[in-house]
Amino acid sequence: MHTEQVSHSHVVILSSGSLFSEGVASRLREHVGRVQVTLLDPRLPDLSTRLSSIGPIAVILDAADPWVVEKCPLNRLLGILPGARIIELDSQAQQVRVVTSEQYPAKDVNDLVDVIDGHLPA
Amino acid sequence: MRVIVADDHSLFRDGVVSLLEAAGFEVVGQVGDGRQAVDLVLKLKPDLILLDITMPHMGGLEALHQIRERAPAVQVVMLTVSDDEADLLEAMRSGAGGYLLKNLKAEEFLDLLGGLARGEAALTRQAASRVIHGLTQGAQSPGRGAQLTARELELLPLLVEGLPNRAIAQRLSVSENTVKYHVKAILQKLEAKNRTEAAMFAIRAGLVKPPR
Repeated sequence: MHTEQVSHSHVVILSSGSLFSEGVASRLREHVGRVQVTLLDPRLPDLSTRLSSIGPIAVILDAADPWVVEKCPLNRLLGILPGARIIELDSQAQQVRVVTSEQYPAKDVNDLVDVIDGHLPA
Repeated sequence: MRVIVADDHSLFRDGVVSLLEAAGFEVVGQVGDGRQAVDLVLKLKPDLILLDITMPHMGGLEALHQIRERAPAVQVVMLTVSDDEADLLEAMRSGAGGYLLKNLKAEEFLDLLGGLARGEAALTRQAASRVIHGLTQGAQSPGRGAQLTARELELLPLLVEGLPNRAIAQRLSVSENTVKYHVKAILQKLEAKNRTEAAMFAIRAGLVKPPR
């Protein structure tokens, strides 16, 4: 069972075994105490349940991993973990792409306009 | 096994280093460009260097040539995103001990590197088959150098020396126009854009020994 504190430092790496993501996972594991890393294979049939259960603060994925692309498109991940940061690794560029999502109730167009204007519901 | 990792993508390089260390390899150095890679190899004399192909200052293939020439005991394995058959064949012809793509699974990567100690090439089956196919094709079709006449082969070392047409003409006791004619034919047959390119091809293909 995960405590609240562990849950907030938990990072999931989605990887079907690529050199890049496994290497990053290996390096992150050295930061014991700051980051708790769990590797999950995107082909797992119960991936959604596992992700929800872990409730990671961030999900790291290799954007070039074909299994990640096929099994875990961004909209699916953000649907399962709306508050998590999705961090895409790019094995050919010296950068990572961070994708986040925000979700608000919108009962009518006025709510939508508020969101557009940045007047976000509490 | 003492290893150097050369790759300009530091996050990728760092991850590979971590995997290697966890698997029991001793990573003695890591660098981000080809020139530094050559320098570090000469200084540390590792058992193995992993070389990316696309790096600043000096590419991995050029670094491979220099390492094979200056530190032949060091094994070189290319680790790259380049799936280009020309890169693969050039690397293997130049004496690389393997050619691995970065999209490889970590487990397979470590297995293939482990095979180096047993004298095996670090190649996936697919890459090995492409190398065999490429080399066989090369052997079946006459090489560019094979099309040169005896006179052109006689002139080629002088071209490699960098002599101008007039000096070549004097050495071979022929007219300057004759030399021009032969040089033009050499460039055409070697598919070279200029004399320097022809000279480099001649050295690499073993048609001429490099000048001292």
